Amino acid sequence: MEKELELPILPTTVIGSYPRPKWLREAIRLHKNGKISDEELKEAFDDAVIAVLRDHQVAGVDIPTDGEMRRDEMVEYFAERLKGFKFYGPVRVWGTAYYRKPSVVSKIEYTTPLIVDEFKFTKNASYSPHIKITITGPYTIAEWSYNEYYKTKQDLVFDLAKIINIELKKLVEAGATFIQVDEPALPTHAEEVEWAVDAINEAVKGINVKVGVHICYGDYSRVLPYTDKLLVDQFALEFANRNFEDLVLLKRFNFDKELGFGVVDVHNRRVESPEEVASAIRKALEYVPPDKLFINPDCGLKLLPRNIAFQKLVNMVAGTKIVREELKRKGYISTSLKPLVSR
Amino acid sequence: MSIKTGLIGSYPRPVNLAKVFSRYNSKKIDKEKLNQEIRRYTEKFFSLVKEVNVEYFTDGLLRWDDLIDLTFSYLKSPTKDGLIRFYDNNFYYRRPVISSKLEKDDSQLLEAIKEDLELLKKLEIGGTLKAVVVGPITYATLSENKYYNDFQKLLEDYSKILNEVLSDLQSYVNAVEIHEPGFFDKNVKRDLIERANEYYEIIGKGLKIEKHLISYFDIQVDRLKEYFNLPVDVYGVDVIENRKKLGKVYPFFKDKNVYLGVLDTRNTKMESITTIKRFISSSNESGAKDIIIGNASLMDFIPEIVAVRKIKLLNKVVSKDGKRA
Ligand SMILES: [Zn+2]
Repeated sequence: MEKELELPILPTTVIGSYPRPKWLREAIRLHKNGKISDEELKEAFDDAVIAVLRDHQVAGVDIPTDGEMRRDEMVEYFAERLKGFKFYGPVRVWGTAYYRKPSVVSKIEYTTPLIVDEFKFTKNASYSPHIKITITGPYTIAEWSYNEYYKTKQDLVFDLAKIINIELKKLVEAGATFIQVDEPALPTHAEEVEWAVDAINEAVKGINVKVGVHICYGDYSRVLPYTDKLLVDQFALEFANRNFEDLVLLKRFNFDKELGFGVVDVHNRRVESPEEVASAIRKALEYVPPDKLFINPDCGLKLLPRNIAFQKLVNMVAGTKIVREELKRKGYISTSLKPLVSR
Repeated sequence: MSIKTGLIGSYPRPVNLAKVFSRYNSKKIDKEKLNQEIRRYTEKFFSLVKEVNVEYFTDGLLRWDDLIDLTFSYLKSPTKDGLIRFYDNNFYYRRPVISSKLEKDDSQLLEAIKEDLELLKKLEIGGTLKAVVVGPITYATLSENKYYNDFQKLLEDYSKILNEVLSDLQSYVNAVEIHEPGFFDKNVKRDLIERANEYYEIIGKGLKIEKHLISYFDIQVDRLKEYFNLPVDVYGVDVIENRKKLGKVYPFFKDKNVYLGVLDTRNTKMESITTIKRFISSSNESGAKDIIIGNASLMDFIPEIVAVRKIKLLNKVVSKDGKRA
């Protein structure tokens, strides 16, 4: 087992999403209009996952995902598969961008596995024995939904946590070795972070494989005080978008967990050079020891054009390799997917 | 005492109108076609206003991407920057960047209001159309200042421009909403709150237009005194978001006209008429003069279909009450 979980030092990975191929978007549109069947759409999704894995492989990513090809949106996808949610209609996020924000109208119930099939397919299709499976966290699902049913948001979040825990256990049974809980909403309300952390702990309870949490574009100083209390092994955070200025917060809050270091900006089409990536990693190494540093983009890549997303991964891996060589000379050869925290 | 109905701020931009904006942004249609569609959807919104018999209303702000986008219609010097979260909502606005002295744009907002008035005439709608502007504290704290060394000077310049804007508008409309959610924003420093009165004196100088001060989201109780001292005609309170603090808020209602935000625009759950009536009677008992009830904050945060359902509730509250003025 030990050996199976071994990874090169500075393992490269992605946060989760990847741009959907144009033909997949076309297939989804045709399916919506009744022009292709459910089976045909499923085949298109499967093919898209294989294409994404191939992109990740060519780029040299150590721990790929399926690019979240099957998920339109990170809350919607789960709300559609759980009992208790209802969709009234689209809500605007800005300008001309909308999303379908679900409403909780009755007790949330788990009726069928959410992403176990998705995981199994990816595992079978993957070039790498290590894959990351992402799941939206209980706090973010609640924060990005309307609560019509539960007395408090807290009640809703803890019910969601229990359900996510059931799903995570099934994922581990199916062979998952690296689970990432996505909680971008976690820093939204400073006064709620404390109990939200308890809820995430509830969601990952008994999950003895590597568990990470992903948070992005928020005020990290609201979350980092809970570094120890939050029972995950890894924090995958966005840094490139803010010019790596937030790295100092790691020192301020005595951060000592693994860091998934956001090294390329997903909100900017300019492709960072390998040298830029390497120098950012060297900067991160001032705050985190080499065997606790994973390398990833800031966030999901899905909003970028596919060729740019791909090139960003290529350069991310190339930049990582530069620093890897430097570390090898200092005796750092490998790290591991072994969990560090007992849950 | 009278109880009236009102709608503040924005109505959810219909998805089909957003598609028109996308076509305009990618240069597939021209400005004239865009305006034509905006007028068409504004007319639809006004028809709803008529159906529900709303007495104080805006034009739904369908022309603007967000509340802050509206300020570009009366200011011509700031530029638009990246997307920033609008308070604690999953809703984003483009931050204005101030790189030179603030200057007034004479025409855009006025043109919009004139178009609205034509539509209202066509639909034979009586009620009171309110123009909408952003308050000085909210504007100054939500934009990026790269020009003014003295922050007070920014607020003064902005307030002077608002005074001129309102002075132009008052020949056309009788009331204006001044949106000031920043007043209760914890990140806004106390000294700014203490000086708010000065800015509002500048804004209101020599004007007869009715000024409705609108705030929403969480209230800081220790700022209520300053809030209710501002020289305006109607004081808005987000009742929904501050249910637990109302005991501290009601005492300030004495002899004031108040706007009660009783429709939750951050949740799809429908309000109970009984609860709304309780808010009204408590305000009444606290000595409020005229009471207007309406949506608690911007309606962008809920789906259009839910907004319509909630707006229709207003009429039920006042008609069953039998106290429609
Ligand atoms: Zn992210």
